[in-house]
Amino acid sequence: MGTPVVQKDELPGVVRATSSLLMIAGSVGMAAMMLHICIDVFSRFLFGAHIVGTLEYVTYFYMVVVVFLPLGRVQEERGHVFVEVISQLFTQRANVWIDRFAQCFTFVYTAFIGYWGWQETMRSFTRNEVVTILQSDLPLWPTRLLVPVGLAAMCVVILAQLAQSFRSGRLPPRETVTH
Amino acid sequence: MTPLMIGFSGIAVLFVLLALRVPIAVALGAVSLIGIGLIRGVDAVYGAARSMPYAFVAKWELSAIPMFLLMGSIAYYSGLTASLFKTMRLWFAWLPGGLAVATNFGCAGFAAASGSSMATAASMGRLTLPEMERYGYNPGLATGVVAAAGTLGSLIPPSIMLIVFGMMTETSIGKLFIGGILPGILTAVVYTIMIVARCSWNPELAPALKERVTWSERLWALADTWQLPVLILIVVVSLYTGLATTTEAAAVGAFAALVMAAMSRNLTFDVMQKSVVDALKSTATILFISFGAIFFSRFLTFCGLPQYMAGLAETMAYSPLLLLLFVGMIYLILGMFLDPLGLLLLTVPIFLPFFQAVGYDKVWMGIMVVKFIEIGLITPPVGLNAFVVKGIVGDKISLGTIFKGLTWFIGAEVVVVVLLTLFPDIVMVLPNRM
Amino acid sequence: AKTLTYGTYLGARHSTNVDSVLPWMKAVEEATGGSLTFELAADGTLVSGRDSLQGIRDGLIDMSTIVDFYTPNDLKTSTILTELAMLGTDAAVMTAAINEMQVLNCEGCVKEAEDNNLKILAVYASSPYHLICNKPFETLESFKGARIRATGAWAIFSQAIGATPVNITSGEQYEALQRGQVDCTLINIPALTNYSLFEVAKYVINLPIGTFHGAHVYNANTSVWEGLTDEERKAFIDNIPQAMANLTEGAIKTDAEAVEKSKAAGVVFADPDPALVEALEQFKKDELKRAKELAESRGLKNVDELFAKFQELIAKWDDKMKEIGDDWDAYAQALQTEIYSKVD
Ligand code: NA
Ligand code: NA
Repeated sequence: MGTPVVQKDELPGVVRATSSLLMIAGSVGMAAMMLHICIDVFSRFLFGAHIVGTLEYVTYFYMVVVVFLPLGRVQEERGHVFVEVISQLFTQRANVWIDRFAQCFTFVYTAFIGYWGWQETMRSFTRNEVVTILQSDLPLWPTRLLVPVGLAAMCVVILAQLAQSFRSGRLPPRETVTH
Repeated sequence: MTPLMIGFSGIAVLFVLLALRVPIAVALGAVSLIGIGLIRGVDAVYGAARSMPYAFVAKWELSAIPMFLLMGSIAYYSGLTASLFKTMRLWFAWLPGGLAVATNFGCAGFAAASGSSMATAASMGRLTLPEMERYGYNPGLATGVVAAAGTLGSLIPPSIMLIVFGMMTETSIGKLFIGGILPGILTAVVYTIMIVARCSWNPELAPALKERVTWSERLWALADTWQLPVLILIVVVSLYTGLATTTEAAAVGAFAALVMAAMSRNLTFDVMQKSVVDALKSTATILFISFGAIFFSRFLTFCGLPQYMAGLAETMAYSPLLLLLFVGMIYLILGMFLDPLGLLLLTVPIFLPFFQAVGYDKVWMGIMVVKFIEIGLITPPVGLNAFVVKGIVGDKISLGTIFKGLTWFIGAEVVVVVLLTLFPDIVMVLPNRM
Repeated sequence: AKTLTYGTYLGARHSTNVDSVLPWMKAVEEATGGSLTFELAADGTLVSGRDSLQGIRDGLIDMSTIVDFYTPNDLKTSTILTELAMLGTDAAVMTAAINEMQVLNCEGCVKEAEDNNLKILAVYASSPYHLICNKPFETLESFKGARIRATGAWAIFSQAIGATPVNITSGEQYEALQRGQVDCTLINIPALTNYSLFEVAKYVINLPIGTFHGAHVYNANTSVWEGLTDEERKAFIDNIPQAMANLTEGAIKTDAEAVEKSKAAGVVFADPDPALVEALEQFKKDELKRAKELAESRGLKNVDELFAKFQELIAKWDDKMKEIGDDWDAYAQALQTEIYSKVD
């Protein structure tokens, strides 16, 4: 269907390893999030006690993990939703160039958001941004760091895909990913 | 250029970028950042953009999104979807267009475990499309029913769209969920009537299945799908006994799905891994789009577009029906081009004051808005559920055929919207009893 | 004409904006003969709650509603004063006291704000928090093991009376009270109507338990402030007493309306168990110790002095409010003579 693009098994091993690593971290985060909330719920119900800080951990930590860490893998599979309606109007060759343009465009956007995320991390670090849970201050910079990390992984994948696209000139069909 | 002109130019550029295969998330975000820069200067871009992705994601209520997605993907990979479709098939196959009807009710059932329309269409489509193809079903009908009934995923609770709507408007998510039940069922019923009528009129659309099914087979199959009702029951009970809040119930539901998969011995490491990975990828994709959409709504705010729209709507604000018609038209037009969550984030802040001014209940408004947006999932050229189905069938069926098949379902949707407008109680009767 | 942008996470229809900020903007526009105009960017279109201070610091916005507890390490002293929530029992007293404190008597507050390019002009105190419960808690003992939705100092207080503090977002408290995930919520009275809590929580204990006095409503980016003419600055400051009186009057009126509406819906406002009152008084004393520890852990010095001054000002305004009563013009006048006539 549609325009052929670079598939994930054509990318350099180190790029794939990076996104796999982040994916594993994300998976652990997802599972931990579920368990953390469930343990909180059940202990509140059964013992009237609960895990202090669940709301803060879920908000500032788990949510950021499950949203940003998978971005590299999603890009590997070209899973970001795009519209492929009018590609039929163009030749295969034109479509390959259009796709390269779209990839460059995506790279620039992602790089900007990622770079800002990095600046925010530095700001959070130097200004010692915290969230207060009862009596203790929890620093937020480590979770802010997940934003540039996830977006950087996505950028690296795009670069690898572009390099592969120019090297091979011809590109296999895209894998369908849905959500 | 006036800000308003920059706004309209921005929308035009957005469409060009979308046509050039730029991901929706990126096109929305990039156009907005450039637009904000043109209107307010580079500092404003920096200020509006740099912290927002983190600030938007770091929200407790949004945690229900990954958790409900996880619940749905566990249900799919542990075989719940398959047994559901098998049962629906045994029960409905005798009807004209029986497999399509079974697919329709299968989607409605799976919607109770899944928070997303696209996940519902994808999960059911992977099972039912090969089956319908094997029996020589009309391609338009087969793909249409999957794409259209998939939209029930956002109407029948749990629903990511309703969670986000509730969060944006400070409406009880619990009430919104309950409010979606009857409209969801109504939609499934109207679809069924349409399918049966069409297939009786033209039996070539759906060749009859030549197989005999005994009642005992049916009942056994029904007993075999115990997991779904039990899963729904666990979530509902956890809410009503005060065990969990609506947000927490998502995590409880995911955990319950896991336990049930283990009990029916379908829980392998592979299943677990696939479920988590699927849920993660969907979470990231959905929320990546949502930053773009939020940038876009900020951009439009700077352009003065909401005020402009408000000016148009104000002339109708005195007639609830006219307002609804206007809003419906806007959604129909925007729904052709935008993705559902983006559309929601974009439009609700604009329309909320008008709905409140004419005295519509926020729960009713939420259901109507989600209904309108879901119709956008099946309209060309950007119809995400049609894309999902296209992804499953590959080169065998063209996108044109799918959209053509969907016109019948869009017709059915018009009937549903009219019914919900004439009888708002269909939405409100259950939430009002809470 | 110069246009200043006021960015806020609050909605355009929020009472803070309707009762105070928008009328203040109009008054300043008139007083300056239009040389200053304002634009309200509400609903978080420019800044979220967490990013408000940063927005000022970067000059993205010129003014903002800033909640100090999001940035306890930037506005250290202000946040520590907010931590002393339990000292408050009345919105009018606390609004006056916190303003006299932060604007005139707190070098640390001013200095830390300036480090963030922020010129502090006025801070707002909420009406007092109350225990809003779904069953009657007639005795202090009955709170043992109860679940109370509370944050900050209120969570610590909940622990002190033997209850478990539960952190649930404000949007979820209705369902939590309805279904018994929590037994009480600690929040101010208007929540009864704003969040429809009166439908599910039929018992309110008539005991004010602290105020939230950490929301900076009037302020300016320092370089914007320095760029204003003397007349413009005067117009800014002269209109603040009335704006704060409007805000406080609005808050107290909203409180009264919520009480009336809730009573009509059958909500019981019960007097507290004397033991609970006693426990609160004891807790207030311990709070000074706790807040001091927290302050020192964040590197603040001369905390005793700071707290003593704040308590002195609260006592001062407590007395003043006995004369003023609900004469809001007199209140605005008092703010003017005691505080804003001394600001430059
Ligand atoms: Na659903
Ligand atoms: Na569409």
